[in-house]
Amino acid sequence: MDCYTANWNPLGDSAFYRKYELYSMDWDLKEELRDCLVAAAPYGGPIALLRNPWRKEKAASVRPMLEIYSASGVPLVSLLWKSGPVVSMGWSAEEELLCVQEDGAVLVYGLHGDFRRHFSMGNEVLQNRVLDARIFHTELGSGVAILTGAHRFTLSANVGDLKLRRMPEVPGLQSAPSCWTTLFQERVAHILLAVGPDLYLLDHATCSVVTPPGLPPGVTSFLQMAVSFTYRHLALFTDTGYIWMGTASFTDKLCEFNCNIRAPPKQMVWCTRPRSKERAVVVAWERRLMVVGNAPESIQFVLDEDSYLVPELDGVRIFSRNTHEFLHEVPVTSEEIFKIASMAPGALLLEAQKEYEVQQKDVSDEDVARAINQKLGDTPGVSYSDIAARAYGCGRTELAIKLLEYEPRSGEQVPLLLKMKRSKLALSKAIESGDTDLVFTVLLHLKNELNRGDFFMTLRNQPMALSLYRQFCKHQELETLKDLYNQDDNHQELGSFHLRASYAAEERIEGRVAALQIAADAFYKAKNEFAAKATEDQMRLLRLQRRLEDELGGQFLDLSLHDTVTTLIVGGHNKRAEQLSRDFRIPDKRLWWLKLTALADLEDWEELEKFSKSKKSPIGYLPFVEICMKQHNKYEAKKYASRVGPEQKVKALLLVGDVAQAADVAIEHRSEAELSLVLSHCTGASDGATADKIQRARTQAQKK
Amino acid sequence: MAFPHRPDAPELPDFSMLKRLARDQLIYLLEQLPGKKDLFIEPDLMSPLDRIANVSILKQHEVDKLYKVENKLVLSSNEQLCFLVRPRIKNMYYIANLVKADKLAGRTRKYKVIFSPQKFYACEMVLEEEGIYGDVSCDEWAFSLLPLDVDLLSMELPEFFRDYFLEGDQRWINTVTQALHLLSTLYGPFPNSYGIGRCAKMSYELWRKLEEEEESETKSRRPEIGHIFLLDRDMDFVTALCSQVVYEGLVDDTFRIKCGSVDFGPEVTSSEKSLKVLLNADDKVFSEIRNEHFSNVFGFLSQKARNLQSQYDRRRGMDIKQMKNFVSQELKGLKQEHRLLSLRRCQLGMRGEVTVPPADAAKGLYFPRRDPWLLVGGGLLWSQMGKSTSTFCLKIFFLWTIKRHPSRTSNVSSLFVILADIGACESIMKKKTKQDFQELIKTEHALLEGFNIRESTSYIEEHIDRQVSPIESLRLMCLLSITENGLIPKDYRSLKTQYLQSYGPEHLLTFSNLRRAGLLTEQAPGDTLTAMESKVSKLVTDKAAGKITDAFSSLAKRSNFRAISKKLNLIPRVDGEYDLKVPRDMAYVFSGAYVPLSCRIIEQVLERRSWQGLEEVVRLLNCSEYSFAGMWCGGCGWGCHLVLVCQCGAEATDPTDMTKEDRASSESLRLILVVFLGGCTFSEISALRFLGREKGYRFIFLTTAVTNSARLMEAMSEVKT
Repeated sequence: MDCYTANWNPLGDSAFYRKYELYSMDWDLKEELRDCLVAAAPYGGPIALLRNPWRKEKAASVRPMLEIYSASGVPLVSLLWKSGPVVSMGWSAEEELLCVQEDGAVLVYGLHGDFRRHFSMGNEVLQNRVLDARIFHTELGSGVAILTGAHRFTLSANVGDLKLRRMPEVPGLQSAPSCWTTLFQERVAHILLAVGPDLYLLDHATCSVVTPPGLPPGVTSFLQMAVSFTYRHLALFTDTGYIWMGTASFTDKLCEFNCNIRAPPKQMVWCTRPRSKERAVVVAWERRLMVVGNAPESIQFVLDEDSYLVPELDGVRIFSRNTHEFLHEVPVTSEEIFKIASMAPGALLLEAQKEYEVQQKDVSDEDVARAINQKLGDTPGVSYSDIAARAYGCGRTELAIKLLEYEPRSGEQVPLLLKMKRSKLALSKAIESGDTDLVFTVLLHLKNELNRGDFFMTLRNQPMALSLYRQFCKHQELETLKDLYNQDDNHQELGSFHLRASYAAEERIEGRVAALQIAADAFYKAKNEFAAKATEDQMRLLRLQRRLEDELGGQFLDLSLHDTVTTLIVGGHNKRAEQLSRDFRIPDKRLWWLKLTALADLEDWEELEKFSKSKKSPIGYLPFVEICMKQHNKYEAKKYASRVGPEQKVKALLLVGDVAQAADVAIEHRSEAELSLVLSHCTGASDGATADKIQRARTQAQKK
Repeated sequence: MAFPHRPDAPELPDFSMLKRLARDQLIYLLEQLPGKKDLFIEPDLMSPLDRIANVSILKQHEVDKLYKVENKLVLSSNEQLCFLVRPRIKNMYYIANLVKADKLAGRTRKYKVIFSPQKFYACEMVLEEEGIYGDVSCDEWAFSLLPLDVDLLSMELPEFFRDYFLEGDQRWINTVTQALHLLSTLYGPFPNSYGIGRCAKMSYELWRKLEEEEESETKSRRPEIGHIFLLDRDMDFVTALCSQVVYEGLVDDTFRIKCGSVDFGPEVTSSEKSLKVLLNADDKVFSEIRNEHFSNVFGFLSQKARNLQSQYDRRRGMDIKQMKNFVSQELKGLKQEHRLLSLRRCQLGMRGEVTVPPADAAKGLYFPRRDPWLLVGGGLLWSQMGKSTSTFCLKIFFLWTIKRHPSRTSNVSSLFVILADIGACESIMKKKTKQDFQELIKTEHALLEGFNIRESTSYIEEHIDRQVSPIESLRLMCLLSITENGLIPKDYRSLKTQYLQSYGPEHLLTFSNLRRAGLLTEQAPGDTLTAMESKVSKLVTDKAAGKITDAFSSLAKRSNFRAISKKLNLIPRVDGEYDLKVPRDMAYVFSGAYVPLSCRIIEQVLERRSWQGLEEVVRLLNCSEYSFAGMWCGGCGWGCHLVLVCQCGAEATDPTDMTKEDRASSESLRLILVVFLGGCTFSEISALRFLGREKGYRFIFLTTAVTNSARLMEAMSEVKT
């Protein structure tokens, strides 16, 4: 434990700060840092250096070098700067290097010095030149703020969505402000600047004077200002060596400190972390580093070398020619120390670590991925897909894939896999995620990427994706659907496809019959004889219906076989009806039901009777009784009631209202069920005798 | 009637919050388009929308005119058009055509598409392909849960059934997941989860993932709903295929309850208007009879009717003035009750009593047609009351009484002579059934019990031959197939042939659909089956194998109904008559002949708190891989599954590791959410309500849509368009 507490420095009663080495720097700097423009990406990201010859006003023939290093000083790239003079550099949240030129042009480079794009900060900037520039980060993205030679500010809050805002003029401003910074409040970027003893706040429309609460009198100038990583706090360093710390909204003062050093500090940054107990700023001079907060004493460190401070979400990075250190507030209990690595704020450490790991080129992908996983585990907030994206950015595709395997949310893996052209893997992952939209996205990717055959083959092994694509084709690309079935030798579905086409897509009868023929062939291939035969029958029927329409007029097309025959009978074409039912082998029972219904509808009682006598009814005679009664023809009904077989006789007699005879039959049958049925129909006054008769029969039956 | 709940039964949560949420979100979306706008609504969304925000609310938010999204183009003059649609491709073309027509005419206006419940990438892609993506703005109205009743939440997604169970399209699962997430956010976590079915398992797992990722505040909330049970519709097709005989189910089968209300058309109301009646727990008479077997409802309504009659009888001896007074005062109060009551009896008469009463029995009782009804006793012409919507109900009610109980109508007929156009009423009855309802029920029972298969098959054949109803015939065929593990090849061919002859050849596609869904299949030859089956089930479960041909998948879906029925004792042994008035088990919803399989599974699992002892049933359901039960760690309140390592640090692998108090407290929660993926029927709801009353639970139902046999069959049917 000693090693942990040895470097703890108390600040006030509650908080400790410690500074420890992250890396010894691998870089071999030829120049001093102070001679360079320095830009260090937040979250432990890379460092860019640009030797700054313009400042020394040397001959323009000496072109500067732009160098990019990892956080540990491993050179990533070095290139000759061929563009114009650079005033300021900074990294965007996407780890792109933004170089602001004197003429207001901003050149954007990737991590490996690859030129991405450039944009201009506008005409006004071009005319008046850039005096100073800052790259800043907000929830909107990364922004650029420019101070021009005319002492005006221009800013863009998000370079990804470039909108230039020219800030209003500060009245009476004759010289450059002594210091300035960007603030971010209520989703709007502001500029805070100090001119002599005054502080001005600029927003899009107005310029207002602000006064920090509790600022002692006697300040004639502000030498430095620092806004915290989250934009919540502000620190001001005055020419009296006094440091004011408060909220960036100027509503509260947190604390103050008098360091009695009047020399302007080189840098001043906040050193806090989420949920920190203390709010402190770190002030750096040439050889001195000071941590001050709400305490009478400060912590002081000696700087051996020219150093550079990088504010982070959870502390401050300090790097120099030889070392890269981290200064931060120590969590209260040593228990929590061990948690540091797993806590979200510790992302810095993790990021730095993984950045380092990813760049170990001599170790196998498998090992690197495993090493990273062992260090990070399943820490919430750590996104393996992001790390993998980095690995891919470094050109290590295989490592990226290995890393992605540790990503628990399969949906998160998909975009990168697609980018890496691992579409098939992306498809499986998308399916795993259960997000059909994602699957669909991948499908369309695949469709463009692969040739048709390969695409179909891929689908073939993914039933879920296949059905999704089929659904899509049904609405969008019917022809593709057909090809899909063809490719699969899915003759059954092909048959169904053409069958549907025969009435949905085709209009002309020839086209319809042709479609049916293809369908029938497909069904044969699918060994579905039933469907094939049924389809052939339909072809015959269609042709026949057309002929009927030609010869008889009226509407026959698209009627079912049953309805076709019915229509013929109703139209009086009995011969044709008979022919048709023979040709299509309509079973007797169906034919009888059909004819019975048709003739009753026509109220052609004579024909019905003739029909009933043509042979023995295969459906019995009760249906005849029923249908006559339905047409309210009791007379006809009675004719058939007598022919109803014994089993249904009672029912038939009751239907025609002959309760008495029904009773007789029921008694004869000695059927209790029938007797009760008849009894329930004995309602009228005239049925009294019948009811008695049944009761007598019942008692008799019981006696026996 | 309407058994009270046990005193220890829990209160239901207040689901009206869901409506408010949906309404607020919709208003927010409408306000995104400030100023006047015309609203185009997908027809399917109209009823649900009506339950959330009525026209006046829409007007308040500057909706000017309302149009239906349908095939024909509408000429709207508004500068802003808003489309409220389901994420369907055909809707995209509709919108695209409209926008393109405007472009051609050189017209620019604002278009906003609101997808409900979510948008799909494919839809946006169509907009893009049609070149109008930049012209419209797209939004989502995440309205996925409509409280139809105090205990019934519907997603109103009838297409879920076909999309998932036929087409294998999983896109709605995400919607289900979101809905579950919303419920657990609003009503606290569900400590115990169970489920069966492929879709159930997938929804469950995705939902868990979502909960874990979001680390929502539910963790700290006290659970209200103790158990959640997810069930796929294809676990139990049989129940959904049976004719419903519980009152609410019967009304649904006959008149189609749509979004919690039923529309009685002119043929029922015998006036030009149609009448919309909301059916839910707010309606006192309805809530007393909704879960009853319809045979009891007759008795109940008769009693009610008699009470009403005696109140009418008090009018005897009044003079005309008094009579008028009575009519205006007293009747007013009775009207509402009377109206609904009579409507209901009217509905029953139509379905329950299938043989049309002899027309002449009633004929003697009324005068010339098309006159308003009048009171003979007092000589008061009732037409003075006007022919309001309520009087037609009274009219039909008495008409019905007369028809049903000619013997008992003497006092009624002495009071009233009903001069009504009963033509409409008769026409419904005529249309309703050409075959006897009793016969139909008898056949269904025979199929469920597995006897007289030949007879039932002939019955179905006759049904088809007579063209009784394409949907009904199909339903019976499916019922036969599932209960018999597929049709024997001869019947399979002949029934299909007959069906095609009756209803048209396009139904070849219907049969192909039914086969794929496992609803109508052919029995495989006996011996080879088992070998084949094991091979196939391997194929099906082996993810890598991937491709399964249709034939295999339908084979794999062998229903095993008979064996399951035996195992779970679905056909109660009955000694003597089953007393439908005092039901003893859930079988009462099918006249005592059959306990709904879905409900039995739920009952058994809840009793055991697991699938233990039900392994054989699960296997027979082909769901060995798709049944699950999980309990949530009590340590951190919520958030981690016990088979996983708990995020709070507690490591538990077995529910028994839970402290006794934790178990007891989570199990004592007697509110149970049952999720039906693919739809549930009113019969199932009634059965579970009954179970709840018996055991002191309260069930809450979440369904993708309320369904019944006809809806299932229609979803599978191919129709010419």
